[in-house]
Amino acid sequence: MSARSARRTGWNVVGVAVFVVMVFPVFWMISTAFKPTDEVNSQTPTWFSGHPTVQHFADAIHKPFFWDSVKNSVIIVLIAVAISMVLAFLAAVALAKYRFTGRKLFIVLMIGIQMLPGAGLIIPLYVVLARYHQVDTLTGVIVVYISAVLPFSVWTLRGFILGIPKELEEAAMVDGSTRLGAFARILLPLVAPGLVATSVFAFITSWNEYIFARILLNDQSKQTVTVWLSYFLGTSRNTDWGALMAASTLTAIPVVIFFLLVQRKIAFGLTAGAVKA
Amino acid sequence: MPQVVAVQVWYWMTNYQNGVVNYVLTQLHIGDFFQHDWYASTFSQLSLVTLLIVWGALPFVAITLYAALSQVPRELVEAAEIDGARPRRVFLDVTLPILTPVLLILTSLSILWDFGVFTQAYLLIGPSHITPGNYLMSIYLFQEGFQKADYGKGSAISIVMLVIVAALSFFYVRKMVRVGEVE
Repeated sequence: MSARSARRTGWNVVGVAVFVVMVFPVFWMISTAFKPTDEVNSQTPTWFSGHPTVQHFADAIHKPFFWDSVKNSVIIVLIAVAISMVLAFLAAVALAKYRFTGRKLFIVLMIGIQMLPGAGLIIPLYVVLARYHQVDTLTGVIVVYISAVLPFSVWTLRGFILGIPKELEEAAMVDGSTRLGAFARILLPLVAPGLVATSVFAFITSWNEYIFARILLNDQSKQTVTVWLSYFLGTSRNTDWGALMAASTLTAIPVVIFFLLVQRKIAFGLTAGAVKA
Repeated sequence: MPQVVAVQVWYWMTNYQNGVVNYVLTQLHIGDFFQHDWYASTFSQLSLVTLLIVWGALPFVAITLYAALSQVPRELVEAAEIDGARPRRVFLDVTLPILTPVLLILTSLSILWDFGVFTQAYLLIGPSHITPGNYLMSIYLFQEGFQKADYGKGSAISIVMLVIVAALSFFYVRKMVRVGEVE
């Protein structure tokens, strides 16, 4: 073996090792979730269980407040994503198509706001929301999530809108379409994949969010899934690892499914658009 | 994967009774890690938090760099190769300079995000094991401002944090604003 191919093999080994380290936690979570309790608690780990069980999932689902938290998360995320997509889309159109006074300031503010660490905002947000009696209500969290997701969404959508040739819209207007008609028939369908991609991002961010939900929702029946999961460990010394991993898997599933579903759609949308244009 | 989920998996893998990490390290003869408690010292706690953050951030960084790499014009690389440059020189003199802006943006973004990190550290160390010794800035803020309900002090910490972030993000914001100006 020459020195060169030896080096190449070396790099491949490194690559495989990195891959294994990256994937192992996910594998271990799922593997643990399906193992019987005695295999979970044994000193020598079992890599693949001989007798998988769904007992841990049943335990996790029957824990108090599981369905409450799922319901809360779904409500919060859906409303927050829907509202922020409408707002972000209109703002992005304005940014991409019109030159208005204060446009530059708007851009600077939007990028700057994204940089603020979320943890730095908990005090002011809490104080403001408490003044309007929005602590411990879902609306308070929805408002916070909308404001958290907006800057990124506006920025991304603006990029998508700019990617659509202005001539297409102009051609429609030459053919007798109104400005609004061109917007609805040309711009909107072409931006659709971008809208989907951006809302997926907004969905994932809001679903995963922890700290704001943690401070704004004290009532256990009002918490979101991530907060519910963070309290799962409890205080007892004998942790039910199997159920914890089952609960973790359940929390991660919507994100993964959503991502996979839409990933195909984005690819499809992009190619469809390319053929038509 | 949600951060809270990642924390729980990390905690399960490193628990001292039957964590799989201790088992693997012992089996590989790296040392005797039987019932080694990773949460015993501040250093080891924070190292685990760091590893968790790196694990979570790697895919994003890798994908971004991959996308940037595929943007490097083939012709430039070929031209350098025809001129007799060795792979290492091609990388240093052609690929790397083209990647530099992306690397800079990624670096400043990562610094900014990880500076304000809260969830992973707070949950992995465990709310009951948080002590001034293992405070991060965001946790300090949370404890003083929120747990002790001292909003004044909390706001003061926020402002100090924001000033530091503003200084760090100067490069990134300037770059992005310039992107926005072009169109």
